[in-house]
Amino acid sequence: MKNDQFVLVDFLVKHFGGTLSQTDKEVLQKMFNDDPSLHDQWERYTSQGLRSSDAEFWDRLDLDQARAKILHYASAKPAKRPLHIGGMRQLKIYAGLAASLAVFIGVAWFLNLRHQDSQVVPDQAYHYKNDVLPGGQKATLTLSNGKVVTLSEEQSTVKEKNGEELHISDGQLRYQPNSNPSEVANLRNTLKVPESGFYRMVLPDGTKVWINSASELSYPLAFGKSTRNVELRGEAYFEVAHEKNRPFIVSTTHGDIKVLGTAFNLTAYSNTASNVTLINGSIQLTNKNNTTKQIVPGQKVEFDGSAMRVSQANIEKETAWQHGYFYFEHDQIQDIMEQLTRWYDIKVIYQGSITRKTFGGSMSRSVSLAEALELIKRGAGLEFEIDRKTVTVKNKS
Amino acid sequence: MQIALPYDIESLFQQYYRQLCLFANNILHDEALAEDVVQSFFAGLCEGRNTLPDDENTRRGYLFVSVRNNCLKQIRNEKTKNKYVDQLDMNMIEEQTVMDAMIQAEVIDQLMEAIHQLPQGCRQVLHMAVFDKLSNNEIANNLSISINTVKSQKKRAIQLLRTRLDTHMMMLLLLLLSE
Repeated sequence: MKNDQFVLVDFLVKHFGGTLSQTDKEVLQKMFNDDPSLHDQWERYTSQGLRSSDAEFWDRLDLDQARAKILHYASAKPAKRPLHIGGMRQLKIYAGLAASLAVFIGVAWFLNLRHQDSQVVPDQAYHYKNDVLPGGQKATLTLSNGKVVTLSEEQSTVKEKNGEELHISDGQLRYQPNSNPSEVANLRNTLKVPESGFYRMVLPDGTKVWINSASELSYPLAFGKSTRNVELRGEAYFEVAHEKNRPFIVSTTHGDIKVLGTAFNLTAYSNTASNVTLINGSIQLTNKNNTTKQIVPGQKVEFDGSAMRVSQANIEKETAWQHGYFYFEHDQIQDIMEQLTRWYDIKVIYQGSITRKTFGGSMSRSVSLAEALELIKRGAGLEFEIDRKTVTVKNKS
Repeated sequence: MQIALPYDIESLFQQYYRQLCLFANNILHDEALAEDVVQSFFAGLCEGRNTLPDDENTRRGYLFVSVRNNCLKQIRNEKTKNKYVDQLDMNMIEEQTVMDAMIQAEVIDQLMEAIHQLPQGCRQVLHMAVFDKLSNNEIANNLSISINTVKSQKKRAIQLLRTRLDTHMMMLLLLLLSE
């Protein structure tokens, strides 16, 4: 059988589900160029469409009933090789026992590991030493008196000075507009998101912020009369509440971004160049050299203390993290691993020279590390090892 | 009480049972018979009458080929018994037709699996759009909701689907986009 037709399956699923993206279409085009017969097949499948009777049949299938029938058939039929019957039964019992023992050991190991690091768990499906769970919602909040509070997903209330109350609901921190802004304007809070975390919050002016792993945002409890100032180290996505007379200013190590009301993604880690991508509205960027630049939606500026470079952005790529997935495009293995490093809180070691090819694709951020590496491995021709939270990357031997 | 098959077969069953039923039904055009063929095949596996290949791809091929053979056996039996020539296509034996049936079964299975993980409202709307090929207007009328609700549910469903399906796609895209 010609197995290459199976590459179409995933694309067909997306086509019928209505989620075929631009990248997918490009990939398909590339495949059709390489093998024109695939194009004919694609046309045939898509023109046939799906039968709703198949969907109904699928819906009606009752797995428990099927299991019962299978076991019934299996015991009713005389075995073809009676000699093996005893052996098989025993084997099954042993197998069952072994399975429950494995579960038991797994649980014990899990509990044991949990004690040290709840993210490290046994690998259930692959051959790695252990697996690492993906990140999730976590953050700490430093109050104006220096006290650090851990924010959980549960509904709760944190008390600030002057009886100001901060509410956590729907897994996000919300600041209410202040009744007496001048009293609390000097109080600052800092929200810190650790490696392998993210957090959402609403500032007192209604601006929504999504904060990515290894990032921190600090802000006053009430904004001033003429400007709204916050400081960011790391990556965040802002949906700024529109206020014509009070610009919103984000300060980073490499420069400031001034906006009135808009949505943009800002990456500002201190060890690499920063970049900002504008989704809508307009922003003005001033770097430490006092160079100023204005950009339009869909553009991206890369900047450090001295230089700025404007380019066309891939918005899907820049905001994928905020929608819960990784998106790679023309990325080298090192770039891909860099993203995994932050999300799984791992260390990466490269053994030997690693391919300089670039890759593209996307995957959910809810997969475990082992699942993620399995996916990457097959496409990239690499091998990975996981040892606790250290990943070794090497070429396929 | 939950019934489970022997532990090594249970995972195969979960992964392939629905697909194989769809596939068998594509050949037999008889849902009850299709289920029966697939169940007997799994019963054989439970008894350890057949050994399964280790490699994932070979194993999948083996499952489908076995079910196809059992289906064809059924067709031949029916024919000698009833001596009737029917719509059961003999051209099912052609590779391409079997291939098509396999691909169709897999596409439906993956799509249904993904749709089933959506929240109730989104699921219904998407199901009607994808399988019943209804327009937004028709869906709105059918469910007595506003067309804007249909649009937003559809948009949300597609966004959720995208995340789920993309996990699947990663490997492929990596393969194909490498330069």
